[in-house]
Amino acid sequence: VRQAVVVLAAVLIGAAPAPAQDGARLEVRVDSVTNAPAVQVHNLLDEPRWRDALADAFPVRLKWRIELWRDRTIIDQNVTHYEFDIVIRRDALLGYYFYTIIQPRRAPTDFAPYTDAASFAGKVAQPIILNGFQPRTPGTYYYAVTLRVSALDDDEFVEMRRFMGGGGGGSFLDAIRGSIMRLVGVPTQTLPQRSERFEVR
Amino acid sequence: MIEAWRRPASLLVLGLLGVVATPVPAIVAQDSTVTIDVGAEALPPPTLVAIPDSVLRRALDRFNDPTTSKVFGGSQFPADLDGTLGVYSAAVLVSGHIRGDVVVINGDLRLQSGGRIDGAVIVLGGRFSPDPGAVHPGSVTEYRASASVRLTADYLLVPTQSAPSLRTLAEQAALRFNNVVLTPHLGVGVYNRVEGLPIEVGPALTWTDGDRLSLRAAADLIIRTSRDPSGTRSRTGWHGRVALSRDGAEPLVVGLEGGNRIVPTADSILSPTESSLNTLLFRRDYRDWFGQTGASAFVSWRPAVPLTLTARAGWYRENSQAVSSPFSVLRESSPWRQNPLIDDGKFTVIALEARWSQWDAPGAPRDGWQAAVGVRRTGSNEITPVQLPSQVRDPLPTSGYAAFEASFDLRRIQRIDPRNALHVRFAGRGWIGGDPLTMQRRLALNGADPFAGYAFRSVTCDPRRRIDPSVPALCDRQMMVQAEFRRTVDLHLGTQLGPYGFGIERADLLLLADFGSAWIAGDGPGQVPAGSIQSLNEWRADIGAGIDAGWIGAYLARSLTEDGPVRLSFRLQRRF
Repeated sequence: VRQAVVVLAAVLIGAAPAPAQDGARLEVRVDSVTNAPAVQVHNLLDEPRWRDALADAFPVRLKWRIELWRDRTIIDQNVTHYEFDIVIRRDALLGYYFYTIIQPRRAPTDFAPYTDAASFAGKVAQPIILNGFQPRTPGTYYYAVTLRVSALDDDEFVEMRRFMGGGGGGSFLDAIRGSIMRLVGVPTQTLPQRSERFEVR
Repeated sequence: MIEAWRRPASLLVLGLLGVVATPVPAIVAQDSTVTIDVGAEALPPPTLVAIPDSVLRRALDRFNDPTTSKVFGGSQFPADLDGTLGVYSAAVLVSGHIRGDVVVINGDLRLQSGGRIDGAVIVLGGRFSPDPGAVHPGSVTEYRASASVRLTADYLLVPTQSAPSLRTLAEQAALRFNNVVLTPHLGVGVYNRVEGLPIEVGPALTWTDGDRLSLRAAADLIIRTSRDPSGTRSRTGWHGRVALSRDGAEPLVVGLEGGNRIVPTADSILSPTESSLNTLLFRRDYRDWFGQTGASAFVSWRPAVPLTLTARAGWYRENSQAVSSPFSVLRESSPWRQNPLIDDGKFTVIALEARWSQWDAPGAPRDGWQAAVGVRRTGSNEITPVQLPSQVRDPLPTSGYAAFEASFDLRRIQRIDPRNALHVRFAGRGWIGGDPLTMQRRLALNGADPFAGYAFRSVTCDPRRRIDPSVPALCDRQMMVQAEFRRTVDLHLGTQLGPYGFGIERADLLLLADFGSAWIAGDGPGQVPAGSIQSLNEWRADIGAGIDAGWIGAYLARSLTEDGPVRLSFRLQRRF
C-alpha cells in the first residue's frame, strides 16, 4: 500500500497534460482586433470512434466550455465562462449529415444537411467565433477551452431530439439502444486547450 | 445567435412554390460562418408543435388507402410510381418520379435532384429535405413532432399513445380536477440495519395557481422490509408533507411535515447512497438510527440568488430502536453493529439556518464560496435519559430540558489555473449552551468521511474501559479543517469495443489533508472549557492522495498523529 501511495503521489506531482492524440486536436485563436476567441477542432472525424459512431447512426455531442482567465502572479482569475453544444449525426439511408448548435436558453440552430462526408468534416472543423465573450477591462488574459465529445446516452438523445424536433417518446429501437449504452458505456473524449496570452489595454 | 450569410437557394424555391409552411426550427445555410453571440438576449426554448388531429387523420387516411404503395423500413426509391407512396418509421430517398402523394410517418424524406413528386408531401415526425433541382409542385406538410401511431396486423396505421415512460405512466395514472393533479409516488429511503429498505408509496398532490403559486402535498406509507426481532415495532411507518411555494424573484416555501420514521442521529456520515451501499454490500452501517414520530412546520426563503434562509419548528417523540437482521451481500454470518440507545422522550426543536452559495453546479462546483451557519434549540419536559459516565455529561433533567447547538461550514474552491484547484473547508458544530446534548445529538470524529486516514468513530469521547459494542458517538463538539489540491489530468485510460467505450478519460488527481477533532465541553477532567476549543496539539491529522473521476473516487490516506495503516476508501461523490 505504501508503494501505491508513493506511486500515486509521484503521478500527482509529476502529472502533466497528456500528449495530444494523433487524431483530434483543439485550436484556440484570439482575434487580433476584437480579442474574441475562435475555437476549432481539427481531425475529429479522423478518429475511428467518432467516424464509426456516426456510421452506426449514433448522434455525437460536442460539449464546448470556454473559460476566460485573467493572468495573475500566483493565482489566475477565472473571469467568466460559456457553454454550448453541437450535435452531429448521420442518417445512413438519406446520406445526410446533420449539424445543430444548441445554446442555453436559445432556440437550437439546425444547419442545412450535408450529403458529402468531406464537406461535413470541414463543417465540424470550422472555427466557431464567440462574439461578445472577450474581456473589456485592461489586463493580461487567456482562454481555456474544453471540448468533451461523447455519443449521446438515451436520455440525452431523447432530450436533444425533442429540441431538434424529433418528438418525444422514441421508438422501441431507440429504447433498446439507450439501454445498451447505459449498460456498457459510450465513448467519450475530452480535449483541453489554452489560447496564447493577450493584452487588453 | 448564429449568423447566416447566405440563404440557401432551396428555401427560396420553396417559398416561390407556395409551400405550406409549418412551424419548425429555421434551417441555416451550411456554408455560413459560425458565430455565437454570447451577449445576445436569451430566447425562450422552442416548443414543438403537436400534430393536429385533422392532419394526422388525413395522413393516416392517405397511408391506409388500399391503393397506396406502402414501405415499412428505410428504402431508396429510384423508380417511377403511379399513385401514392406511404412510408412508416423509416427514412426514404426518392430519386424517381412519384405521380401521386408521398406520406412519411415518423421518418425523413429526401427528394434528390432529378426526383419529382407530383402530389402532396406529408411528413410527420421527421423532416422533408428537397435537393436543389428536385421538383415538388404540390403542398408540403411537415411536423417534427413524432406521430403517435401503431401498426396493426393488417399493416394499417392507427392512432395510439406513445410508448409510456415511468413519467408518462405516472401522468397517465394522474387524476386531474381543474388545476389539481393527483399522482402516485414510489420511492425508497436509506437502506439500514434497523428497518432494512424503507419503501415509500403513496399519493402526491399538486395544485398550481398561475405561474407563481403552487401547493405540493404527499402522503407516503413506509413499508419496512426487515422485521424488528422483538416484534414491537410496526412493519410500516408513514410520512406526510405539504408545502406552499411562491416562485419568482424571492422564492418562498412554507409547509408542514410529519411522520413516523426511522431517522439517523446527528453523527451521520457518507451520503445516503454511500451509506445504503455500505450497509447492503459490506454489512457496515456507519449511521445510528432512532424512531421519530411527530410533526414540524418550516419556512424557506431565498431573498437573493446565493442566499437561502430556513427555519423549522418541530414536536417529536423519539425512541431507541433495536437492530433487525436485514440482508447483506457479504459478511452475512457476521453480527450487525448494535444500534446505540438514545435518550427517549418528547422534544421540541427550533432550528434556523442561513446558507450562502456561489457554486454553479451543486454536484461538482468549479469555483467560489459556500457558507452555512445554523443554530438549534432542543427542549423537553419528558425525557428518559440513558445513563452515561459523569466524564461524558452530568445527569439530564427529566423536565425543563433545553440545549443549544450551533454549526458553521465554510467552503472555498479556488481555481489556480484551468487545471489546478485548491479546495478548503473549515467546519464545526456542537453544543454551545444549556443542558448537555442528548445521545442522538452527539458527535464523533469519523474515518472515511471526513477523515480518510482514520477508522470509523476513531474519536468517540467514550472514557469507559469496557468498549460499548454499539460504538456510540459521545462528543459535544467537532471541528475540522480539510484541504485538497486537485489537478485535472487527461488519463485516456479508456478502450474501445465497437461503438462502446470503457474506462476513465479524465480525472482529478489530488493531495488531501485533514485536521480536526471532537471533544467534550466542560470543566471536568478530560473536558475542554466551554469557551475554548481543544488544544491543537490534541487534534488529529491525516494526509493522503487520491483520484476522483467524478462518479467514483479512491483515496489512500494515513494518520499523522497515530500509528495505523494506510487506509483505502472509495467515495461516490466529492469528499466535500
